[in-house]
Amino acid sequence: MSITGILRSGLMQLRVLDLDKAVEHYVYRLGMDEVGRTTDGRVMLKCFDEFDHHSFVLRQADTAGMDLMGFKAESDAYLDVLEEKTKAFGLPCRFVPANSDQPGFGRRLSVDLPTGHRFDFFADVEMAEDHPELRNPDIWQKEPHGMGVSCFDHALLYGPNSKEAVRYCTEVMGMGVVEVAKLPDGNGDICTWMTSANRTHDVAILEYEQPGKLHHVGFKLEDWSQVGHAADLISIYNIGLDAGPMRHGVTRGQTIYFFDPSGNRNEVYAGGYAYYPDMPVRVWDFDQVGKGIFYYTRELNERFLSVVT
Amino acid sequence: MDIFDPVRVGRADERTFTISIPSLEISLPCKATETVLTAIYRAGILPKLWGCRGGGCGVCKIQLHGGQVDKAPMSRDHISIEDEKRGVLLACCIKPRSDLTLDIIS
Repeated sequence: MSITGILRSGLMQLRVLDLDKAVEHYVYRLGMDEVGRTTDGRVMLKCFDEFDHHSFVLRQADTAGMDLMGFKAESDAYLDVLEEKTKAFGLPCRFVPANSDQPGFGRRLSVDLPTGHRFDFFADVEMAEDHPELRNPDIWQKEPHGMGVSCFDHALLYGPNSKEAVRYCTEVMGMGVVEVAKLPDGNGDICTWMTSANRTHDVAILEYEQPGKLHHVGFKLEDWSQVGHAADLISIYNIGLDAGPMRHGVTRGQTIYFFDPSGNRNEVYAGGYAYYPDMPVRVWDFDQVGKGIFYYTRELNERFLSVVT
Repeated sequence: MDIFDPVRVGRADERTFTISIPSLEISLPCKATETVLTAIYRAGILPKLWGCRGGGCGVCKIQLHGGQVDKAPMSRDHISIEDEKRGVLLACCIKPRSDLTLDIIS
């Protein structure tokens, strides 16, 4: 295996204002499965094509947004390497014990980013009971339901000090910068898309005044026809549509955006190219960002840029 | 998603109320089954209020001066308990139970 260090994004804990409505949305509309509930009432979810115990957690709260985003590392020993590198970089970090607040997960290294977000790194995770088959595998065990999301894929985070956070992602986490959008004056980046492996992005970070904000959580679909199916469900169930169906110039993903019942933005998308570490960075000038995001209409949408949780 | 799932409501409330926004010198019809934000958006005014529609982002803040509403949970990042007591609310999280008078804050 040539992918080392951090392998991929693999965990997200979201705050929701109404847990029952959130479960209905993520299970019956997006198509995740409920794995179980924690002793403090959080709901653990996973997608049908994921092996790990769970990848997504919903927490009833009085605000919307995200608690933490998790990344899977190559080994438990690598977490010690990360701790050392994180301390040398100068960010606060601590270990969270195994099987504590995330059942099925080994110990996690928890890091506070200067953008106000929390990243947790983990390696050992129990395999989910309901995982993709391993011997003469069929394409799925249970028929995918709802939009049929196959995995939790990425998130776009908004916060201050994004340049420093990007430096942490690249220098400590070893992520590759896939694409960037430049600031209006052409100096520096307003948004950076980064990946640990072959995905076009595991995380993107956009410079923003308020800390710890979530723009969207992204889930993978198989193809463009599934994006259309998702659009059908959004209309049938009166889900708050944000943008799409459409294609991004950035990553070339085919996509649709909408909101969960607490206002957290979701993306379900398909396609996009495969990233390799030898690829040069693709750059979007500020005046072309409309095309970068909305490849067909080529016009920026104020709501898409400014509405966050 | 509309936070008030019509499938769960049971028998539809067919009443329509009037929302008055004195500062804009307009009045709008608003059904009992729809949010104040939906009525404002349908009138083709103030498109910037059309945000997450789930009480999370805070872009559709209003000051309720008079009238009764049903409320869904609103993020405390944007509406404190004090705000809520004095009628500062998110338009996406309220449905009318009488005629309303309000101002736009956002």
